[in-house]
Amino acid sequence: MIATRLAALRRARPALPLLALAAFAIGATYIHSASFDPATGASKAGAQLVWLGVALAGFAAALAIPYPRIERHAYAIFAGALVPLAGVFVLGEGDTNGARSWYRFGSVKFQPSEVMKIALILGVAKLLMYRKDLATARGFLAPFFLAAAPIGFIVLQNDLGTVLVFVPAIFAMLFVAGARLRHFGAVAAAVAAALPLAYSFLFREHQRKRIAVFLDPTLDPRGAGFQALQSRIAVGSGGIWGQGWGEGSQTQLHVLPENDTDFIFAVIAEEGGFVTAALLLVILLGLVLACLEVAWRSREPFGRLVATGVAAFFAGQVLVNAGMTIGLVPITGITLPFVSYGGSSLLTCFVALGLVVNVGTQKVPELGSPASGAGPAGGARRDVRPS
Amino acid sequence: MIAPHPRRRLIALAILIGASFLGVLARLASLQAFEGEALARQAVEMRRRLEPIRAPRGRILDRRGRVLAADRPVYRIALRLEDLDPGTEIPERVARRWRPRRELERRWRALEERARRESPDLAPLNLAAAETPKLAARFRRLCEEFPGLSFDGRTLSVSRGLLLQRARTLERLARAAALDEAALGERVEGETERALAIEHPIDRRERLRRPLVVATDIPFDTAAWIEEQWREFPGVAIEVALEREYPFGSIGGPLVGYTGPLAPGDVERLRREGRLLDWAFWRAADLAGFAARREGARFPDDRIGRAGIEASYEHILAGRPGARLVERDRKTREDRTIAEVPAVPGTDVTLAIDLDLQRAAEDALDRAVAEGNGGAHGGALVLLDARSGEALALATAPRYDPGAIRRDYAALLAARPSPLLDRALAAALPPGSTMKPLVAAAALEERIALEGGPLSPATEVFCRGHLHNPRAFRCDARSGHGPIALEAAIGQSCNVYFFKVGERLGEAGLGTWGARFGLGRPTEIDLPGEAAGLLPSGAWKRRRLEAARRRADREERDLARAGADLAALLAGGGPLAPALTGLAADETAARGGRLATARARRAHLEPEVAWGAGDSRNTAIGQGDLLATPIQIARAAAALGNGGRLLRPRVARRGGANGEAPAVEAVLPLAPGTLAAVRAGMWAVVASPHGTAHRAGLAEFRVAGKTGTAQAGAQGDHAWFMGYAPLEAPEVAFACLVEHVRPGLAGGDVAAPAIARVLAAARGPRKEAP
Repeated sequence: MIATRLAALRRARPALPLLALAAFAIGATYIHSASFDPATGASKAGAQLVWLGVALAGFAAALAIPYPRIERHAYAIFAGALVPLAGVFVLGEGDTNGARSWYRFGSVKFQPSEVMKIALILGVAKLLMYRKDLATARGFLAPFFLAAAPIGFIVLQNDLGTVLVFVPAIFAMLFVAGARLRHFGAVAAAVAAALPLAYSFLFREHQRKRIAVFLDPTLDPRGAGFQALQSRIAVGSGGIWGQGWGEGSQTQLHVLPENDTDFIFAVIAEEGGFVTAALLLVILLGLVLACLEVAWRSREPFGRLVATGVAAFFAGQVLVNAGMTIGLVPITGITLPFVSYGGSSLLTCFVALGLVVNVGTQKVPELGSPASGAGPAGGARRDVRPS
Repeated sequence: MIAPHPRRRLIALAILIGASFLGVLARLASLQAFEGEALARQAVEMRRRLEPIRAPRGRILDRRGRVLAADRPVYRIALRLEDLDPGTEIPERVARRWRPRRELERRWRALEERARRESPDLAPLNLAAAETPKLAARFRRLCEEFPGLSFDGRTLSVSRGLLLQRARTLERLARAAALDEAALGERVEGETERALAIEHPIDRRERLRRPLVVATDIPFDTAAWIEEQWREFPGVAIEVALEREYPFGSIGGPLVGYTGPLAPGDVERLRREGRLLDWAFWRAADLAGFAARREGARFPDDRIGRAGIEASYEHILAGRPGARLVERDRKTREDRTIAEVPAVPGTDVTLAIDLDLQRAAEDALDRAVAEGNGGAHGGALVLLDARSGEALALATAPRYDPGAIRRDYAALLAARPSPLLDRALAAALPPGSTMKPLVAAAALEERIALEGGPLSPATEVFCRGHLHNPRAFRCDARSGHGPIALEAAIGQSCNVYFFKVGERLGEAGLGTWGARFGLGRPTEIDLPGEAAGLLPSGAWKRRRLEAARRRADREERDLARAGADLAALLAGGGPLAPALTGLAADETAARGGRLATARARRAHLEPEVAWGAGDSRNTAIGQGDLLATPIQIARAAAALGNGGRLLRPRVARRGGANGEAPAVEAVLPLAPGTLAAVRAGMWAVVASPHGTAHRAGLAEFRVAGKTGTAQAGAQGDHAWFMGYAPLEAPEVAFACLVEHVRPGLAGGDVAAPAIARVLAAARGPRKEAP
């Protein structure tokens, strides 16, 4: 068993973890700059390195287990992830702005919605593989029924940003699984119609304000629009070559709050300039495309869908996070994968990455030859479906 | 249906995601490469700050433009710690991202210590070594910024001059402005320590920039010299503050009033409205937002009008603050003004008051008060323009100097008689016989039936010295005036005549005409703190009795309840019982006393519930419950003189112009014959050998007047004189009051001569005012 696993691991492509580590390195460098405390000489970069260790352990674990076994228990994992998500209402903590959304173990905060990101991808992938009724509306909507409970919980926890990552991932998986295009069209039309209603009934006051201010940050330059404006100023004043590491005036004056987590991209853009920010974006795009390449090579729908979901989850988070610092998207509390400071986020990203690498270790049968039994856990049996 | 090939879908998805990333990249490029410069400028704005500009308060001028109140510039020395000592900034700049700031601050301090001990000509001292090329680059930049730093490629050194800069500046400053150098140094040291202890970089920098005032009201020459030698005084700024000055001191003092600090309630309200210009405001404000909110905005240390004209014209005097947007040049460390919203100075208020007349009125009043009651009580003198209602003089005694109010406030508050009370408006006292001309006019107009026919100036009443009973309702002339008609009744102030007239006029006539002459309500003069006086009526008497009854009932209930409570408490016994018993006895005695007072008052009021003849008689001679202020009496006199126009008196001339129509509150229905008859009586007061003021020497000023000597209990009568002049075409109307004069003195002895002196000082009845 271990021997076959090790043999399989030899097929793993190193590009994915290398790209992730490159993004992490850039992130940690600027986390040091943003969180450096001149009075004590301390920064959060050291802590981030410790988190990297934890995250790499998660990565190894996600890689060690043969993924067909993960497939078999996908629903159980999904259900298991629901428990802490629901329990947070009772046992968790929250900030002043919203409901309880995280657990605290000593000085360590843990956000159960992070785990849910992976669990949901697994659950939806399981749901969509070999689905016969994908062409019908019911089949199209099935993953949303599955996601209804976690999305509901997370909305109640006031963590709209995370929902913003879930939904594109589900759509991407549906798309790759072969759902019909007109269903996407219908959903797009329905969303366009429902958005004004949601704005007036579903959104809370501070969310509405954020959207209004997103459309015009000068509405409230010292209040809700402050972050949007200041982040734009930071990015812009970086110019092409940047103001230099540790020399960004917006960063060093701590004009931007949370500049080592949600606004780390602004810090990188200010101090490292366009060259560094663009390099980071290219690395992250490469990471996403590498995930899609794993899906492309996968001969088996569960793995393909998991890789697709993870790629969409990474892409969504990068686009929303970078987009908000440059004024393309409203400000939401979302981290930049592999880059932002924080343990939960880093761990989630590396575990998700581990899953994709895991999928990538699946033996790709030669085209035209019948699938051999070398693939783990009955992959051949399932691969008879015409594709 | 055949499912689409997943690989094609994957490629489509990859293209979609790639396109989205391209969009973000494009936006990033546009922000950084093209808008970068504009946005960098906005980042520079973080280095900008708003500096407040204070608006000088408007002046208060007399009618000839003499300055009664004005802002005077006061020069202050303010220090900016950040510039005073580069040592507050250099360690942090060196430390950034390399060593803990605290460590470098300690090192800097040690170097400072060494520089102080050793000769200043020795070599520069080493502050830091460039361990990396990056640090070397930063050190080179710092050297450009701070002339005292040098860098040889390896070590960053500080010249001893730079290390000693603060000490030398403070030394020079102490010498220039004659300050205590040790105390100054200690203060600066302490403030710097506190500022550097602040963790947040923005707050710390702000604290270091906040001007620290170390000396105030320094001589102009010193201020000018420091300004001129600014290069010698880095970090030292001369600030100009405005201080209110009252060049004429106590002349017209209570009338001009004074300014005081904002009350805590005002501060709270302003903060809620976002109009409190404190440090928090300037930190968050931008120029446009400030401009929108500056109306009514106040600095926390602003002083606002608290009395007199300063209070009633606060909104005109105050002006609006301004602000300038300032950017500090990194190299030269000089401030540059980027934009400015100029302050709008307050508007001057020109008074109708003539300072010469005011001074004459105050001198005359002070003398009358000294003669009348030796200064044990106060007095007031009002001089109005009889045609326009403008106040030419409003004197009150005693007075205060508004310029000294800050120093003397506690003493002024405690002094008796109180100098803070403007008696011209706020002393509501029985007007005594000055009421008689008003009653006479009312009676003639009402054509009351008296001695068998409608009252005419010729109707004679027989005065035998008292009305019915020799002990009640007496005339001043004990043996009586005999048969007496209107002119002599006013001239000799016959009470009996007016008892009978008042009885006939009754509650309705007295009430109507009293109100027509403006009694019982404020004149609405443009000064704060005016008293309404009291015009009694049957309804008012009933209300008063009701209040007395309720009061007595309440005291009775309270006493009973307190007694019961105490009994219950004492019934418990215990170790405290003896002490409690003593306290209870005291408490019961105090309550009993209050109850007795309340009952006595009720008993006093109860028999006279309804308006009686006695009330009418007392009111007709200005006694009983009637209360009036000097300004009310002067305005009534003006109405008698100017043909019946009741004017709204005022102190300020709106817009400073002459031509404005007087504010006429009402025109009284007074026939010319009535006014002539009353005028004849008032002329007799000063001109007839029997007139109550004939010795005062008022005839030469053609004065029509009336004395008053109002009984006011054991403390002594109030002496009054009211009237107008000249007789034929009145220009001025006046009232003079001296409180509680010594026994034997009357209005004609004390108040009338004061008016004579004022008119003499004014060279007879005033000619046209300029």
